[in-house]
Amino acid sequence: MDLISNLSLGLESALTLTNLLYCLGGVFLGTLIGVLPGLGPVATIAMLLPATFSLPPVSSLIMLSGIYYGAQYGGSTTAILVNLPGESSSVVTALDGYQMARQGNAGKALATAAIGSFIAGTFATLLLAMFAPPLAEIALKFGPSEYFSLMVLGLVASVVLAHGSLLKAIGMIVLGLLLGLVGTDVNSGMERFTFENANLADGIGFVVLAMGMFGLGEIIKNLEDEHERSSSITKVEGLMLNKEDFKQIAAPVARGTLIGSLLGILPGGGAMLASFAAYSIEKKISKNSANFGKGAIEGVAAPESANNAGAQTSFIPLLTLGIPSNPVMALMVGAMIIQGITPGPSVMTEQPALFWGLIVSMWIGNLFLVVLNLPMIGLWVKMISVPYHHLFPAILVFCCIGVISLNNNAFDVFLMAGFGVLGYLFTKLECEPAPMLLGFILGPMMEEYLRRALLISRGDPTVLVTRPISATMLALAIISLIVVLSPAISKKREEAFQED
Amino acid sequence: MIKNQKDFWAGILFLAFGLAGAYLAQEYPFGTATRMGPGYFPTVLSGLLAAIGAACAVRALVGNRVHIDAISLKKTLYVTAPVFVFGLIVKGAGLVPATLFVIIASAMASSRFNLKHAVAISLGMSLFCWAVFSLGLGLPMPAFGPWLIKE
Repeated sequence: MDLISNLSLGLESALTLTNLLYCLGGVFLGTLIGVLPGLGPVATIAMLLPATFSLPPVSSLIMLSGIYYGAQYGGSTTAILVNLPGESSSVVTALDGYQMARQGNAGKALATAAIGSFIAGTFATLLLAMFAPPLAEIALKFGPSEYFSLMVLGLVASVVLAHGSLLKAIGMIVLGLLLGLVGTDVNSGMERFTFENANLADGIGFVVLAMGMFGLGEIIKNLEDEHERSSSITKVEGLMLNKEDFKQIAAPVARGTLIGSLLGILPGGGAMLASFAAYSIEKKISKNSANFGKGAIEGVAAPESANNAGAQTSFIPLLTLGIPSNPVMALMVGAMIIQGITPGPSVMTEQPALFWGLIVSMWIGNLFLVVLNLPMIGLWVKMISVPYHHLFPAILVFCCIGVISLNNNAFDVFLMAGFGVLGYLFTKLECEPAPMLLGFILGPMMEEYLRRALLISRGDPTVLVTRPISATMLALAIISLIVVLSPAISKKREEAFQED
Repeated sequence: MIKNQKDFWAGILFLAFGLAGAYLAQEYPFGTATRMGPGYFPTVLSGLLAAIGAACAVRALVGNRVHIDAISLKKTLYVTAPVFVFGLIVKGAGLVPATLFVIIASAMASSRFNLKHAVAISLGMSLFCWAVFSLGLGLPMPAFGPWLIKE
């Protein structure tokens, strides 16, 4: 059995004491920062990224994915306890989770989220282990034109499935692509868009961009509507589920897991779409649908399982094709490149220990989430209770230190401040920063693939549509654009993202 | 005249970025399709961005009225200016003064600013950051820099 031998290789590299500790540390830090209200997973990961740069590749990626799950779970905790979802994927969790907390069932809601997430994580990890090798095999046959078209499809899909104005989202992508080109062109050695500033010769750091747009920009936005936060967090007790509860959540967890796993693979999908879809489907088919929005345990179980499954399976396009499907994965790509790993199908064949170690540690990370987070709930509650006006200056300092620790270059700090202003401005104009980050990471890769594709075809651009796989992907991209732009669908799409 | 202000100004912003990009990319050899020069991709993207921006701005002239919510210059300044100053002084003055400054100055952005609290937090945080980043992780950032301590 290939699967077994692969997984045991993974176990070998993940189960070393140091890697276990890094996984544990990542999950802990991720939750610690992730529970802070108003800090989404992208900002959390960007803030903690510099801490992993000095580690060896395997440990650093293991720690990073631990941070990711921790941040994700931390966001749900905040959503349930104080109705302040720090990230879009826990918005729906807050609907029923917070109601449960108000009825004195906070412990049950948290336990449901943890257990649902663990089951979903286990299933999705297995899925990843099974489907990654064949997919990577296909991807190895891809030429530059296929890759270029795949990236176009990925970028288009990422905005089609997101909410808000499509035109503006595409604009943000293109702006991101352009920003990604800043720096020295690898082929000609020519400096582009650097204004003869030596600090820009290596391009804009992706941590600088992410922290500015997602960290600083969010802080300014949060400060605008400083409302009185409910100071009384309900006491959390009764973290155990009884037999009845298990019966009640079994089916929603299973459905959520399936929906989440499926949607997570799609480019642009990931955790957020998964939780929205799982919640609305569960609301439609559940016997208990009348209680949704009033503290239904199913309304926590389904989206929480779905978002964790989605978080997990969104690693599939990243690890097999090297294509990030959402901003978190874009940060992962950045981290891999810094570690000297080119994400893509060759990772699996060239560095099997890293690949399978990462997959196994995903499962271990999920396990840690359950055994670590529930007992430590007291600490998380303390973190949530810190008032925002005491919190944000500290976050700001961490951003500053994190950025300067990258290259010990003050210019990066100035740049981050600039992106903070830009990020705030864009939120005012309802332009989502997420597509921009995706474009930013993919910009240089797309240019390189296009260059190679055109070189092979002797400058004939039709190569993109005459090769069948490439043509299919471009067609899919165009079809999805047309579908979304059609009036009937676009109305539905807006409704779908306005959860009552 | 302008109905959707958010879309209009977003469009203008894209248009400006696109035109600036196209202008700058003029200096880079365009090359041919077979041998793409360093100017090829930036020019194409800039043109695309400018077109999207123009379309976005024009489309904003019809449809529902949407206003931009007030932009808080004061909060933007209180958050980003301390970050900027941090970059200026961290190497010269050191980690502790830079941290003290960022925390106290940025705390003023909040409507619930309280000087006593801010000072207390800044003292605690600077100690914590120095212990974690300088001592613990060994980042090359002294607590007090050459501006304050003569070596």
